[in-house]
Order: sequence, then structure tokens, then C-alpha cells
Amino acid sequence: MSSAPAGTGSRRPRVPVERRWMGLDKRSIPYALVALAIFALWTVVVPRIDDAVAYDDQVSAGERFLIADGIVFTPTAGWQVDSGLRYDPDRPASAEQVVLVKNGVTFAVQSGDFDGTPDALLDQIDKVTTLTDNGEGFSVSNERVSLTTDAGDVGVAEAFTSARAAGSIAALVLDGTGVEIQIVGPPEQLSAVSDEIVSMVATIRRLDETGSAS
Amino acid sequence: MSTYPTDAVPGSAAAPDDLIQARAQALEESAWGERFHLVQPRNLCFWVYVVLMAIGVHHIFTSFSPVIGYYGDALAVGIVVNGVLGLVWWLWFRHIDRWEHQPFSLIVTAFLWGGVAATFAMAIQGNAAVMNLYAKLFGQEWASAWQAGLTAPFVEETSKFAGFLLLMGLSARLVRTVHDGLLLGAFIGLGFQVFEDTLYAVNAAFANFGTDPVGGAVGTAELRVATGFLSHPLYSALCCAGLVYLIGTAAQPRRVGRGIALVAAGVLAHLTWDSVVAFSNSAVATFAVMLSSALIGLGMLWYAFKTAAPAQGRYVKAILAPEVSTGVVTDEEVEALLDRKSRKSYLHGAGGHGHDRQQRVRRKHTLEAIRDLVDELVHAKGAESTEVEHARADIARLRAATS
Repeated sequence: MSSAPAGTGSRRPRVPVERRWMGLDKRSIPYALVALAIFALWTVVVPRIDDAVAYDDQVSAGERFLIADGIVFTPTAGWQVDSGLRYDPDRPASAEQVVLVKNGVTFAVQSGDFDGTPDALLDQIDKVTTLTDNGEGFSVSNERVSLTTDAGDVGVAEAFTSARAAGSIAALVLDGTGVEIQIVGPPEQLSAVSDEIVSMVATIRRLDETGSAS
Repeated sequence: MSTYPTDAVPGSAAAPDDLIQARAQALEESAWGERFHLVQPRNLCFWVYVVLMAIGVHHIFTSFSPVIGYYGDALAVGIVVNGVLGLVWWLWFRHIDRWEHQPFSLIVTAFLWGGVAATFAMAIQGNAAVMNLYAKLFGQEWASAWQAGLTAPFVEETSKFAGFLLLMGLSARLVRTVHDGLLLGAFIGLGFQVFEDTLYAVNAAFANFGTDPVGGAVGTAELRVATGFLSHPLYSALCCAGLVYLIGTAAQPRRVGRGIALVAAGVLAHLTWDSVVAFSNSAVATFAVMLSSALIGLGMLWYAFKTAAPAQGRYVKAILAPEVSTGVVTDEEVEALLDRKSRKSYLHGAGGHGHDRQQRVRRKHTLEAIRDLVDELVHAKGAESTEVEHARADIARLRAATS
């Protein structure tokens, strides 16, 4: 620990020999160890506890999840909820990204303001993904397919592959709100839950003024 | 070359020895004017600081480099807006550091810890893990409302004061008073706020599918500026001041109760401010929570400065005592320097109209010149120097014009 007096211009004094441990100033050690302990707590201990605790929040039959203000969907029962809020007409909430997981397949839905067509939205998603590093090795299938929800809204979908994952991206636009659905997982698992995925996408719809799905 | 005649101004040699010794003791105890050296290979705190800063820089690179290609403009907006806000705070903190003038290298070290190591090496990972745990243990709905308020105050405040502990370990002489805790804590918090808000601005660029990255960044920056007046500098100033009381130093005896109260106030102000989202359904409740957060934080900050002020005042009085004994400054002027009421009565003693107003301005200048004298005495470690002589002569010149 040293602070040279102003204006001396001399070398800082050596740490007295009786105050050294392994060449280090003993008085600095407690401060350094506490700082290291705080670092270890937040970057090693708590994350490991987090990893060790599994999500235990499964979708029940009939539950609706909020995608955006006034837009919901009804996931298939049994999917694990990693994030996202259930729709409760008595408890208004701001929508968050919904992430559901089942057998290694991730079904993620997010929304935002968007005025164009579903095709334009998918173009924008592809552009952003390609231009950021997250899109490393990102490529999409040549053909897009149409999808229609139970409420009659028409969207588009395409398959993609990247260095880290493979899956599909779907886009819908409902009254100025864009909805992006991304499905990622191993091919065999994707096949196993494909019917459930199609069914979940089809349930995306607006709420009417009473809070019921219209 | 001397600007003012100094022959008629008595030096400290004419002052009693006991006052000179008391001045030397005050300078020794306060460590005012001493330099800070970060590079201390025999100090473990130095190595911990370097390693955690390197980890923070790595995380900054991995956070920002993927988005620079597409969101470079948004990043630039975030840096400029938050940089300007940070600069304003920086200048204000330097202004209120009236006597001690923390070494520039020390406050840069504190600022960078807050921005780089505390934010990127520790808080981001800690926040994510704790928020995940809340969602797993208490459900998404509960977590959505309470996770911010019940995560950031603990993860972020401890990450910031880890840096303050390292500063104490790097310079026990310079970081030893409650005032040091307030000032350096504020700079650590400022670094945290500037870097975190820049990250928020970039994240906002992704909103709405990245169709308006600059608009998203500007909107977020505006929101943070509007609500950021009560933020990290305040929380960490309180926490670090409390830490000085809790640990106790050569210049500040341990005061556990006061320390716990200040740390709790910093955490509580942070907690209430970040919990506003839980009350978003009621405008009245939201306002009440924000107001109570502001009152807790600012009230305790006032208390912390008030309790820290007497120690600073003692040092200033001891440094100026030989000057009072030789007639360079008067007791009334010393009191006017240290106490608002005394200053008011000292300045009002000059009257308020016409010619008297000029006298009042001169008295203000005299007080400023006495501050300069304190600075010069601190810089010279209480010894005689040309600068000290000049400062004394300047006071004499102003007083002659005042009388």
C-alpha cells in the first residue's frame, strides 16, 4: 500500500519485510480476497446454483400467453415455460418474449411494432440476423411457405441453418404488430413435435374488447 | 516571478510551533494532496483489479462487437448521450470535492471499475443468474414484477463496492474518510451508469425487429436521462460511505450502526426505484414509490455529507490555524469558509447595495483566495513555497481592497 507524498519525486517505499507474504503486502490481501469472493459469488456460485435448479413450470391445458398488448396464443399443454407471461385479464402486464421448451426443441415468440407485410418482416429478421455476428453462417431456405392461423391471419415461414442451430422462422403481422416465431432444435426432435408447433402457431390471435380471443 | 508584493505578509515561521505541528498532523491524517499509484506489483488488490478489468473488457468486446456492423449508429448515439450526461455528473462531483481534490488517477480508476469490471465482469452474469432463479422458484409472473428490484440492488451494489474495497487496499492513506467513500462511490456509480446505459441503448436498437435502431437508442437514452438523476452514483456513494463506517480506518473510527444505516439506505433506494414496475398498474403507487426512493436516497445522502463535514472542517481549521495566528486570515473568514450561515452573515456584513455590493463581491473573492491558500499549503505539505507566499499575498491584496 503506498501513496507517495506529493512532490518528493522519489521511489515509493518498499513494503517492510515483516509485512510480506509471498512477496505481497499482507495488508492488501483481505481487501483483494473479499473483492474476489464477490466476483466468485456472482459469476460462479450463483450461476451454478441456477444451472442446478430446473424450471418446473409446465403449460397447463387452455392457458394463454401474452405475445403483445392484445395478442395471445395458446401453447400445447406440457411444454416447459422458460420465460413469458400467462394472460390474465384481471392482471394487466407488459408482454415479454415467450420461450417454451420441449424435448430439446425451443419455441420462442417475440413481438414489436411493424407496419409492413409478413414477407417484409421476415426479410427484416433475415437482414438483422445476417448482419450481426449472431448470424454467423446463417442461411435460409430458398422457398417460403404460407401459414394461416385459426383466426384467418396469414403469415410466412422459412427454414434456416446457422453455425449453432437449425430450425424455422415464421412471421405474422396483426394490426401493426409484428410477431416473430423461432423454432430451433435437433431435426429428429423437431419432427416429433411438429404437429404441436403448427397447432401453437395457429392459435395466435387478437383479443377482443372483453379480453376473449376473437 | 512574484505577481504580488509578499514582503509584508507574515509566513508560517511566525506562527506558534504547536499550531504548525497540528497542521502537519492534520495533513498527515487527511492525506490531502497525496498521489495515487495504481501500479503496485506487491499489492494483491492491483492484480485483482487488473484481472477483473481484463474480464470486463473481454465481455464488452463480446457484447458490442457482434452489433457494431448493423447498430453502429445506435452505439454511437448511446456513447454520446451517456457520455455527455456522465461528463456533467463528473464535473459536479469534482466541484463538490472542495477540499480534498481526489487525485485524478484515483477517480479514473474508480470510474473504470464501475463501468468495466462491476458492470461487465460481475453484474451482468450475477443479475441473469439471480433472475433465472427467481423465475424458477417463484414463477414468471412474480419474477416479472419483482426480479429487477430484488436483484440489482444486491448484485450491483456489491459489485461496485468490491471496487471500493480494492481502492482501500491500493491506498489506505487516500481512501480513509467518509467523504472519500461518498466521492469515490459516486465515481464508481457514475462509471456503472454510463456503461450500463450505453448497453441499454444498444439493446433498445433491437426493438421492433431493428427497423429503427437509432430511434430505439435515442428513446432509451432519453428515458434513462429523465429517470437517471437518482441512480447509481447516489446508491454507491451511500454504500461506500457506509462501508468506511463499517470497516473503520485510521481517520474514521468504526461506527457499525451508522455504516449499516448508510449501506441499507443505498440498497433500499435502489430496491424501491427498481421495483416501480411492480406498481405499474397504479399511477399513484408508482409516484409514491419513486418519491419514497428519492427521499430515502437524498435524505441519507444529506445525512452522510453532514456527518462527514465536521472531519473536513477540522482539517481545514488545523491547516489554517497558523495563518489565523499570524493574521493572514481571520477566524470569521475560516468560519465563513466552512459554514453556510457564517458565510451568509460574513457576506451580508458587507451590505447589499451599490458600493457595498462591490465589497460583497470582494469578500467572496477573498474566501476563494483562502481556499487557494489551503490548496497551496496542502500541495506544499504545510511547508513554505513560492505558491503559498503568492496565495497569502493575494489574500492581503483583496483584503486591502475590501477595507
